[in-house]
Amino acid sequence: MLSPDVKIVDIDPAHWCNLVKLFDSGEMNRGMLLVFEKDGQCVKAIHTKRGAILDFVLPEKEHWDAMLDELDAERMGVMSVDLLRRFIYEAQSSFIREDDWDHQMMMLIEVLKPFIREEIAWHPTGPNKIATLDPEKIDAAIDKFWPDGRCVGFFVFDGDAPYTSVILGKDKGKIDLFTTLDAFGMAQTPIDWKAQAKHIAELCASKYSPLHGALWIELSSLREMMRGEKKIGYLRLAQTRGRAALWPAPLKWRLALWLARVFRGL
Amino acid sequence: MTIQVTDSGLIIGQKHIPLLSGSMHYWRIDRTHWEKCLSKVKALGFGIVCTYVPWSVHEVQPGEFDFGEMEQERDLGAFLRLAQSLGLFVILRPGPHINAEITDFGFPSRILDNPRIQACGPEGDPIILPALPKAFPAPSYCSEKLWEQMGVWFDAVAQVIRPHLHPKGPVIGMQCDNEMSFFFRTGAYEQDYSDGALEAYRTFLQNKYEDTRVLSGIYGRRIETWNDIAPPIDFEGQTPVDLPYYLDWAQFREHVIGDALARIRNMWIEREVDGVLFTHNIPTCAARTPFNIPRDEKVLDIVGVDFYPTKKEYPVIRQRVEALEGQSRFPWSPEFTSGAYHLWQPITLDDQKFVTMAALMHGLKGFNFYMLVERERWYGSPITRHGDARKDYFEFYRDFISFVQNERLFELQKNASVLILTPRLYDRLEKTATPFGHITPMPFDGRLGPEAFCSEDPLGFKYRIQFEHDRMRRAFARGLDAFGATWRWGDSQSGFSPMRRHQAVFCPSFEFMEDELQKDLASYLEMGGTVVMGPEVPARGSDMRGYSPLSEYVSRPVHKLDLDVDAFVFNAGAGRLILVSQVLEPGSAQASDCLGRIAEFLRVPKKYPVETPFERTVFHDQSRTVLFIANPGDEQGVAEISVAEKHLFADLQSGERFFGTDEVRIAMQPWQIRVLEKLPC
Repeated sequence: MLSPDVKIVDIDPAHWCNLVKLFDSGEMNRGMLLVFEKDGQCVKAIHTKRGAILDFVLPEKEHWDAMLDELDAERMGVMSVDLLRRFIYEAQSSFIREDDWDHQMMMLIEVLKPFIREEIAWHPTGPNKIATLDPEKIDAAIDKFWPDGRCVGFFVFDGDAPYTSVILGKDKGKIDLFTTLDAFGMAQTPIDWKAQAKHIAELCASKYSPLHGALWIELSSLREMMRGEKKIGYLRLAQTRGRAALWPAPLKWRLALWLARVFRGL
Repeated sequence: MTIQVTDSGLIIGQKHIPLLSGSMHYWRIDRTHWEKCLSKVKALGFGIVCTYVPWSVHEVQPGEFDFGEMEQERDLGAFLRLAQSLGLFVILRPGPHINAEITDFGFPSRILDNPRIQACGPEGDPIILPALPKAFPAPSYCSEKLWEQMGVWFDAVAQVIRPHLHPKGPVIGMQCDNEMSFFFRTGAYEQDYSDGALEAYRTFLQNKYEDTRVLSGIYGRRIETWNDIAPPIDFEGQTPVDLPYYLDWAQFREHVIGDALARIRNMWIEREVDGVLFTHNIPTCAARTPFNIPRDEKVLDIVGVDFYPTKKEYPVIRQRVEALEGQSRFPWSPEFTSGAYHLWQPITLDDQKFVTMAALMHGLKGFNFYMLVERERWYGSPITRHGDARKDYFEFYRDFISFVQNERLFELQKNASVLILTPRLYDRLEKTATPFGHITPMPFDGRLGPEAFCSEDPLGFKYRIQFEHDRMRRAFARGLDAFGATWRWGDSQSGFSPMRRHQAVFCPSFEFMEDELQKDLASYLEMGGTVVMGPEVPARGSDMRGYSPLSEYVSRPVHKLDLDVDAFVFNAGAGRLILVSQVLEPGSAQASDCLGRIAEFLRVPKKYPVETPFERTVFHDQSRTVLFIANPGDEQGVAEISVAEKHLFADLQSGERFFGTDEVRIAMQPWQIRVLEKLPC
């Protein structure tokens, strides 16, 4: 999915920071207690938010809930202290240099899964499902929706001020470009995006490659959409109100087709 | 050499110039924009530009290199000529490791993929660095095959560099490698167990002990030949006599880095790339083992630390700059954030403004802003890759450089009364006495204390020295801050001479301590110095055998200080030794009271104390006293600076004046740092 030669250029700093902020929910959980044992004895206890708890002794099982409340921890995982060493060994031994980065990372998660499932005793429950996707399937799905030699864009506006923007390019099945409106000197200038969408698409085509599809959306609508449960419903509502647009218009049919294929495939 | 390092910058020829520079990667910038970009660097007020020279970019076939014949962006010679024509000096960083957020960190793939070059974990697995956009196996600096290939690269690039060396050309510095840190995999038992590393380990022990019988005695087991020794792959120590085996491993890891740096420097000199500064940069972490700045500065001119913090990480930047200021002959950051890599935490312009001033406040004197000229895989620089100014960014850096140069802030001295020492042997114990030696502690550095990583077993001592030493030194620092003393960190590797420049040395001390440090402290006492130590007087030396030159001073106290904590004063040589008999909790009222009373007793000068949340540092030059006040938080407020007599301060940036008789009140905005000069009343 990601080209080893990916070009990440002309990133407007505010656009980048705003993009990261958009996807940072800011929600803090209570943290987790990790207990490391050797020969049945606790050798280290670490609260993921508060750091080490020295001289920790694991109480009897019936006191675990009270202990977690007292320590303000959501859950506890008890494992052998050598688990990390064994995991690192397995991960490094399974590494395939030729793979793309996303394949390399998925492999890492695959190696990690049995350790988390089988070698850590969780209380009250383990982490939610560890999602791994088959990178081959993802690549194939993206290829169906997004042909090589085309760009896709994501543009968010706060009033007429560009809030964040992403333009991605793709070649040989891999993402090889990541840029922003800064590439056209437009990251910090007010834009009537409804009127300028076509112009930006033309700029993209002349500098990189034709814009295959893009989402233009106002910040308030995007936030509503991200908070809402029925995200597609919110997107449609924003479109109806003129606060979002999928570009070009037939894109929504392509998107629907792609989603149908992907989800049927899964 | 016509270039010298002083405590305020460089002397080049006869001219004294500050070490203020910025990075531009020529090969990543369209050739037609080079001149515009460099002119903008100059317009910002910089006199030095810095660039990596990437092996993987210039090597077009194994052993064949392009320096502009095939692609004009690779014309290093033209870049150097252009820099010279614009009046800029250049510092080059030809690796071989460059990182530079480039795929494979600047190594040709054929190098990384060669199993004879790869570093190994304890079970022979390759050490993988999961770097985006392609993970790779880390090379080993103990691989002779790597050195042989590096020689080919250095031969080629030296031919291009030689004609451009100062004074004929603009090149004034060569950085030896980049962030040499086992490729950030610094866990004590993560690596390197490759054949080359095992050989180097045995040679290291042989040089240190000379005779296997000596080593057998210290390790407490029979060792017939040097090949009988296998390095530790996990911590299993239980008693003091078990520890030298692990401490030697930690020392060896420092030695791997130090020796590789010296070897690279020598390779340049052999290739007649000489007469320039040789430098190095430690990654953005506290400069403790396996890093060893005092040792590395014996072979290199300056070793600095890289910084990419946000303003919310103010305590971390403070701690790291202070550590660097105490360890290096010239506190310099070879990579100081002016923008960031996308996979690092987001850094805003507000962050850049605050942390730059914070670093200056705590004693950083030299900056290389990385990157001044933006390029692929980077954002937030003052100059775009097309040579245009990013307005707000450009104005900040231009004004900052102008401010530092006009006020000659790099000439200020800290004039610390107290040296707080970090015994390196404790640091090595902290690193090795861990059940987590296979994971990399660097991402948590400065955020989780050693308690999170270290074994909780006292290892046969009264105290859990592996983390309590750090608690004690932090308690010293916080307590002296609360008192209003000006102090400096020191590294026991720096030896005796830094001690002599301070009124008192505060040093955590436990049942063992390195022989050299015990000797240095004894010499310092003999010549009239004051040592504050505790909770124990060392009874053992580096090899855990009985060694205790300091114990002869503590037979009969002449005075017991009136404190909550037992603290005794002893006459020691021509000086005094104060023994604090327990580990103090950093920041506790008890520690503040104890340290404050000891400082009063020693008549340590109090310099403009200020209440939290505000912080202050004080500097001097021949004629001026300059005070930095920081408000490292979201709330505005008024900093009340205690003064003993009438004081008038002027804000050197805004021109505002502040007057007071027993205190001076200064309005502080959130995340503001003021630089104030004391004026005659």
